[in-house]
Amino acid sequence: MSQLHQDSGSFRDPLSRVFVGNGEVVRAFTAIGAKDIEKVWKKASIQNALASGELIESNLVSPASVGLNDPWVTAMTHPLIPFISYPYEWTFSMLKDAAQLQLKLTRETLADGIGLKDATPYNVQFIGSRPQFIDAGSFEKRRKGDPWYGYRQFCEMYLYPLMMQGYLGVGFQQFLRGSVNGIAPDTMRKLLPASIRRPRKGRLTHVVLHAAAQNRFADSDNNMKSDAAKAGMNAQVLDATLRKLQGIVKKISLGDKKSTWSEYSERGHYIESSLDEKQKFVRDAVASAPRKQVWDIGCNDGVFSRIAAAHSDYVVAMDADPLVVDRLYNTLKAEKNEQILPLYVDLTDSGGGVGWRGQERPGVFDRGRPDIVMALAVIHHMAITFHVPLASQLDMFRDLTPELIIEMPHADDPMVRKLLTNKRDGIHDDFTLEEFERLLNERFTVKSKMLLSSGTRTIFHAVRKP
Amino acid sequence: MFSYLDAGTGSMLVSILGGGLAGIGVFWKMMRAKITGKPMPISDVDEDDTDDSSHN
Repeated sequence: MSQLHQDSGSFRDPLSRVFVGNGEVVRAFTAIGAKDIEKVWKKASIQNALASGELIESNLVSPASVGLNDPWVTAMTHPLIPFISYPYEWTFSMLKDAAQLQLKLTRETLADGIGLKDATPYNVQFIGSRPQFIDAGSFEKRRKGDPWYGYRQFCEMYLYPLMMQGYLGVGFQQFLRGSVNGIAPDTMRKLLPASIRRPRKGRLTHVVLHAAAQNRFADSDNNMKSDAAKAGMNAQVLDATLRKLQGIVKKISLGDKKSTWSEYSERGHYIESSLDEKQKFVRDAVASAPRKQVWDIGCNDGVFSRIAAAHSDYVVAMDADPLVVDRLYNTLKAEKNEQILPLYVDLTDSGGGVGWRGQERPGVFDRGRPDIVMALAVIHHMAITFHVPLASQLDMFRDLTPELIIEMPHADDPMVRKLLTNKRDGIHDDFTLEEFERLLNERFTVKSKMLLSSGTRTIFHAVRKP
Repeated sequence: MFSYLDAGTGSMLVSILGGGLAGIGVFWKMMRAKITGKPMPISDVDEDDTDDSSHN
């Protein structure tokens, strides 16, 4: 009997479905979908993308061999992605690199007579810092006069979010998390005014005209596709559009932005011996057992993620500051690091599932299970700034991970005192080392602990109680 | 079978214009036919279409 289960986010394309199980991903095709794949799969552009790793490793198999029957007539297997991430957890540079991959593949396959059915960043995943296109079912033979079906989706889910961040300095993540369909042209037109001082490349055509054309033809029942084919719509026209979009995306930049944490690290407050001790403690704890996946919550510049990576298969490095994560991503990318996945995740607002039935894109806790979690210099921010009680934080960690490395700043720690500066006296009186240890011991067994040389922080390595 | 996404009439027109000069000619022919109401002649610029399927 098949151990496969259908992926909750795979239902929009009626010609194929994704199943997961038996340690692999299976994409199954209906008879029509199979015909599309057969026509394009041997083409040089597809084979080049497979060879370069820009397209996920794919092996054609018979559906029966993986336990699937009707209506599936062809299937392909793919390796599991170490951790599935979504565009609203990416930073500007990550979304930009995904957009460039999407455009590159669309152009290269177009030259081979192939069309892409869509243009959604959900079809891209990151292996560490390397983007990879994962939807082999997106490719089909392009028919005469076909438009670029994914153009609107590209604007809504790639171009406008990048414009929002690059032109307006507004984070796109909340918009992409708010809607799995992205930002509509008319919404973007209202959000993005013209700027004489700093021209906004692509705004006039892809935002203003796009919104106007959508409004003008909203009720049109013209067969515009047929008209376009008769008027000479061809691959050269589409290629010109794609090339120009590549130029626009390339020029949108983050600029020299600063955030609370991008110029600041709590490590600046450590005396050097404290930092050395902490690194040794973390190294010993992570190396004490084989680790498939480590989560580093509050990763900042990734120093501890790198220590964890040396003793584990894969590290998911999360931080609530997108600029900090963007810097880490670019550093990892320069190193071609495929072992550390940097993500923008605010645990105090990580959200549940989104999309259809709230299950199309599951929440971050439902996409993976770490062997060990590191929460270094983070719980005081959640407790004091965001008022998440220590008990609730430890409940979350108990539900999430069998092992925990956690740093507890004491009530007299300089950062704790800073966070308490404008708080009403007495409301965080329970933020003490004694209370933390009591709550930790209820849920975990402490394997080791160490008071850092600073004298104001204690770090614990703890194992979940059965 | 075409893509499952609806290209959208307005979006399709803009995607043609987005190609600059290459798209303006196509766009102009489409608009001229719409304004004059005359049927559009088949373009000289043809694409290779070896699709042998009958499902479109």
